[in-house]
Amino acid sequence: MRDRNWLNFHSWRSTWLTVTASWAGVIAIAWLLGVGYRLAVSPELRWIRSIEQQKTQLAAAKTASPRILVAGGSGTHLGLDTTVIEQQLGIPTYNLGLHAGLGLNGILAGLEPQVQPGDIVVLIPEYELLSRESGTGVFSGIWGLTSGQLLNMNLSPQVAIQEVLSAGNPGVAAIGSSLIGAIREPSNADYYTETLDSRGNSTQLKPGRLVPVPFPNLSISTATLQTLQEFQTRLAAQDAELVILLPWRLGQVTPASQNQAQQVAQSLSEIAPVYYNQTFNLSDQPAWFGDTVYHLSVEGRDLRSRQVARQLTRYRRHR
Amino acid sequence: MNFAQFSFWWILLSVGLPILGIRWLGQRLGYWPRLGDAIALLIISLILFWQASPPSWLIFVGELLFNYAMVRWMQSRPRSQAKWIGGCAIAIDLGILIYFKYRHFFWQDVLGWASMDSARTVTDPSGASSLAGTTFLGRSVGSFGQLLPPGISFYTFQMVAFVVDSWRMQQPEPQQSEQGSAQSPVSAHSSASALATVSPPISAVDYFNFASFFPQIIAGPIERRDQLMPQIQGFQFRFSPENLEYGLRWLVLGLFMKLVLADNLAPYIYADAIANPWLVWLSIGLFGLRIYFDFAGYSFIALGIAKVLGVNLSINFLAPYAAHNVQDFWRRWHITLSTWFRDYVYIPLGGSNTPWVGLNVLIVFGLSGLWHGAGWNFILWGLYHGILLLFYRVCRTFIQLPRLLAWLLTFSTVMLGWLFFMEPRIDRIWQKLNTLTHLSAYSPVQFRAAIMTLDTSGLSALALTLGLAVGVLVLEQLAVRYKADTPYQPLVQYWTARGLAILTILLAASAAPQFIYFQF
Repeated sequence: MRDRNWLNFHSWRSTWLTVTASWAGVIAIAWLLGVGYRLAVSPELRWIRSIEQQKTQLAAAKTASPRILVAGGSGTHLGLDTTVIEQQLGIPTYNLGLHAGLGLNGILAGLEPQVQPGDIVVLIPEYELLSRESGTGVFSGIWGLTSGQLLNMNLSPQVAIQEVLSAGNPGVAAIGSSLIGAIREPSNADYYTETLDSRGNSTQLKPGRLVPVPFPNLSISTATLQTLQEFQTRLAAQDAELVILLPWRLGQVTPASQNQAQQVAQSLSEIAPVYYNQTFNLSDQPAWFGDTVYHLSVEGRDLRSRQVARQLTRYRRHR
Repeated sequence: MNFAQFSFWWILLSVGLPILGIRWLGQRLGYWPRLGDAIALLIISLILFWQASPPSWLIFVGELLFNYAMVRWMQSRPRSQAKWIGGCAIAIDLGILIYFKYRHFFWQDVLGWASMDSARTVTDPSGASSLAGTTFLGRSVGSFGQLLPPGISFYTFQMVAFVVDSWRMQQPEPQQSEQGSAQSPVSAHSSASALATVSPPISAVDYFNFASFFPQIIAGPIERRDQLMPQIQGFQFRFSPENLEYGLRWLVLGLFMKLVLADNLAPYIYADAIANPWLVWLSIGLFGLRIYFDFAGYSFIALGIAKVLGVNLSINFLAPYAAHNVQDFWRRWHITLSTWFRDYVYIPLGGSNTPWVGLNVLIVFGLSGLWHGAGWNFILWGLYHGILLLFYRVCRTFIQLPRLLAWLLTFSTVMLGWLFFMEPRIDRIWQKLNTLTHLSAYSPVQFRAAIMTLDTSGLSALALTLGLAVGVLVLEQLAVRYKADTPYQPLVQYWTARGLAILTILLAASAAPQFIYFQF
């Protein structure tokens, strides 16, 4: 069966220019469609951009030094009430937690411009942030492009280009959900709408009842250690300090998983002070957690916030 | 060399573009040597293989040098000696394959002995066990014994085929003089010596390019000397708008099959489901689709890349799920492997012209199953298809099914066979078969439980992917029915290809699992 459209190679389609231009044009159109779709339709991305803008504005307010800036993924955003920490320590404490989908490099790129001299930066990275070599996540590319932070994410050229290309890839799950949403209202329509308090804390925690399952391999990549070391060096140059807390994570706590978390803590301790509890912040108590293994319930968040306040006691401002 | 990973394309362009730039400059200045293109291709292929697995690279290069030396030696000797030289080369090639891929299986599963590597197991402070590590040029590579060189099953078979084909080229045609008398010993020796060198010796660069051609070295197609070597000898890059256009069409088809269809079906294959027959059937069906789109996708990406370079690779799939009987299925599925076993195992065993043809079929299919993996389940899968084929051969003479029924029967029996392929544990295979054959297990409760396994977004994603998969299969069926040049003709048209490119960019899975056939 001959391709009707191919005709012969003496037609206008036969030149290098037309072949490459037509394919490049199709790819560009598809990519732009994908980026446009994600920006316009993806509720998760809009939520990230919304809370990021709110938190940036809050942190930009002129406040006497020192301050505590707590950063991480959604485990920090939905796992900490920094007003509790502020009450205990007497230091203004901001919750700048966003989403692990930005990747460690994305989170640090968004955080660093907000650091002022004298700040105490408390990083609570999820294990998914620590284990990846690339320092990126599912939203790194599109967030980096739309926030203008792509060049600040310290990505290698290969990773940066890959993230730019992936920005135009919504994925079948997102488009499938949109098709469902076009027919009926999604059941989680309210999930990605919320307001923040004056310190950037979520006012709408996400309830859930998970069953503890075995932990995946808890590890930290060599690239992550290098990234954090460089970040710590830049903070020190600004007269700011880095502190790292192991995240609270739900799962079946075993000696093996605790060993793995201990090794991660030991690696991180060579960069900055690291704080954790006797189980290395691994927990098998579903009552303290919400809808994911990092999001906390009201009870869990309160416990966690008080724990963090105790761990940061050395920074307490004496009135 | 994972086509689904960006790093492959990054390295290919990082290495290929400068080389092509040097080539362009050299040609403009008149300094580009005659062998320049061939050497450039070889450098690209070897660098890509190195990036895939540095320790395996040494093994591969060693095999390249060994096989080339043996073929040259074979071609310089009389026929009787050439047979032993070729046999030695084949034995060593297969021995290397067996060592890296099958020794654990033979030691532990067949002979029931302890692991050969257990003495070198160490335990780290975390309590995890690992094999004593080694480093290679500063990179940790674990234990050498744990290496499975990528593509070893494919390139070994390609090298073996080359040895056999080279030896066969030295075979004299059966000669009968008109008088019916034997030739004199002197003239017979002269003719044998002449035939020993009837084919000019292959240059090292040509052989290395044949065996290391990067689009097909890791996962096929398994090319033959008479198909690929004429295109590789005196290789010249044949860049043209036509090759670029057609190459991109096949490349996009392959990427669509792999990244959109195969990878988006993967999360819904619940291999651990044993007691729920709905989930077991779902997993079997999705696995059957996934392995087809995964492997065919890879083959078409390879075909597309090669086409851009001006090389035509063999098409490895011809719409296997359009087959109306098991024999037809094996003429459409992994064609280059099937024909390899036919030409180098089945026919030498006597083929269909012996009283023990049934045994020959079972041997070939058992070995084919074993080729896919070092496990009893793979052998079981192969034998299952062998039995199906024998059953078909017996029944076809006196049973003629309607076309639709024949297709349905073929499709369902092939799908059931994937159960043996995907489940490595024999005890779980029997458990799943038990579940599938108990009618009482097919309860509404179990059905609801199966649906609950998928959340809303999961159901919609699966439905969308399945819709696209079925669409592709229907187009293949129509192309077969209306006798198109290939079953993929509708999918590699000008606008369809561009449409698939758009769909690939929008729908590709973000975390691409490994190609299934990489483990073979």
